[in-house]
Amino acid sequence: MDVYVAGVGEIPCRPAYGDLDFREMLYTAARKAYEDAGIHPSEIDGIVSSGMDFYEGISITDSYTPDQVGGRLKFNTLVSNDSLNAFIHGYMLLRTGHFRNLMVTCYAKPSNMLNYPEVVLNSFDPHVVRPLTPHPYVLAALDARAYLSRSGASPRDLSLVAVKNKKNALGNTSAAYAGATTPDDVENSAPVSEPLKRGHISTLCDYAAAVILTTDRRLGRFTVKGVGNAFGAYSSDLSSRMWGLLAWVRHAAQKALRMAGIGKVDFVEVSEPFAHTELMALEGLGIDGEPAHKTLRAGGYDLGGHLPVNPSGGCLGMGYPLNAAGLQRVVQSVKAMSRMGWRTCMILSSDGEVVDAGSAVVLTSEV
Amino acid sequence: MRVKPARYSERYLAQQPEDVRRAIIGLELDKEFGRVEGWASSLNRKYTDTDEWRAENLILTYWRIACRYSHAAGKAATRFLDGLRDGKILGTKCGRCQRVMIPPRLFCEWCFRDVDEWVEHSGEGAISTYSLSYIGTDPGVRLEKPIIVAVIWFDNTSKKSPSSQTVLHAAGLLHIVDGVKPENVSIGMRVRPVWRRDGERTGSILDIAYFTPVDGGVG
Repeated sequence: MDVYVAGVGEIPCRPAYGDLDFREMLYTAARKAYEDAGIHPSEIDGIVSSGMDFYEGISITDSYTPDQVGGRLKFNTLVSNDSLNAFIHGYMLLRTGHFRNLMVTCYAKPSNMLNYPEVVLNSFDPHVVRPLTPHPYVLAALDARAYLSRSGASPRDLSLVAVKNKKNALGNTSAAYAGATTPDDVENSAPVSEPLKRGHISTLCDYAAAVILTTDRRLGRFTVKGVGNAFGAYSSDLSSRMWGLLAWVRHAAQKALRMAGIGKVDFVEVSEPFAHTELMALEGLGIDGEPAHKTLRAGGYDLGGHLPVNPSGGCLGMGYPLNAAGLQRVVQSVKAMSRMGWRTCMILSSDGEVVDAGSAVVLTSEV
Repeated sequence: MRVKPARYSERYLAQQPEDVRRAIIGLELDKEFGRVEGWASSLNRKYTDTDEWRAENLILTYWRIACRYSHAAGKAATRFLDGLRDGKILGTKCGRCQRVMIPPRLFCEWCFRDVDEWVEHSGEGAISTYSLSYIGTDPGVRLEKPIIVAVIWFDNTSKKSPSSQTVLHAAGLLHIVDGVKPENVSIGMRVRPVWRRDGERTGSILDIAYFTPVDGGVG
């Protein structure tokens, strides 16, 4: 049984939607998805949402979802991980045969959070990590340092990623942080936690997205050809983690590529809360044959390169909407295939800022 | 071990903007849980004077809630924390794959079996990865001098895969490194723990004040 994307909707990324609450943001995204799919909310059989209560400041976040997306009195469930994980849950639910059309939704409103780093502290081990009060960017910097040491890449490579993505975002009206910058601009931005400069870190943004999945071929516009998810981290503590690499990517991506029966894709969309996340993900993907930073330097990941990566601008150019980053990638992939005529893409998204776990999805424009 | 009520650490309080620190201390949130003022006055209290946290154009409803927990440490972590109070770093060792686990676990997820052999480690090891951090956990705080955050992998505890020499596991800790100039820190630098004095240790990861170069540091 094939599963198709019938339509997508989003509200553009912004530093803050001061005039909209999350219900209004989600409603806007859902309306656009219904319009895009050409169906009425009554034709949806259920909702799969992505959310983390400690980000939202509301417990049982999914109970606040159905009304504004057309899901009242229907099946409703929450995946407390990245929204690409929720997308895969929607895919699997459809393949049970119990549903015909499902909507996957997510939103992020980090502008509501007064103390983001303190909130994120709640996700760390309360005995051996939390008392040290590490900022999540510091943990990301540990990953960046280890990646640079492991791969032979230089901090300037991180800057090249930031420049590429911010430039790509200039063509994306949903992007909040597009810009024409130079590697020197990024190098000269404030040091945050070495080797990370401010310009290597994706700025948080408010965002909402809705994607309609279906098993009805008449409604399908893109096909979900393969999915994969893997958890690469040791859950007990941070010290036994494999720093500097994303172990989950290889397992999740290979599963998705095997399901799809392909070895190459036309482009990649990958959530990158930090510049090094993109390179670490591409190392794990390994379909390029070269160390990622060498391909990057040669322009291979540029819009005109042999494997464009984050043609949407990624999270560096669009803004990082926390757990909504995965569905942000799905929507951008669909937009890019429509606009650029590309036929296949790989979507990768981690289950958090510095989590070695995540999801992979292969989409094609063939139905 | 009965875990004491959670407290904000001195390090954490030091990172707070002055008015927030004042509010935390004023509300006695730095002391035992449960001794806050009444709901009404608590909710009406102005949360912060920090300008960047204000959103003048928004209609916001503030909900200041102190979600406080007293986490049961569990058997393994309790013995580990008790060990820290005694100035010892304790771990467990799997009898099958021979891995040393610090912080300890009572199971080996590789072999999926119980683990009951305890070992003590000096805490000497090498820096696996590190960062010079200019930020605290509060968005308004920027540190004048960077702190060195590092992952330390303890000596003779790493397991490597024969084919790639990739480290699959190492016993170690995420912690602070001090007693060395930031520019002199490097991956592979050998470090040892510096303990708080007898009587000052409480059974916390902070009983290790920091890690410092084995050779005494370079400035």
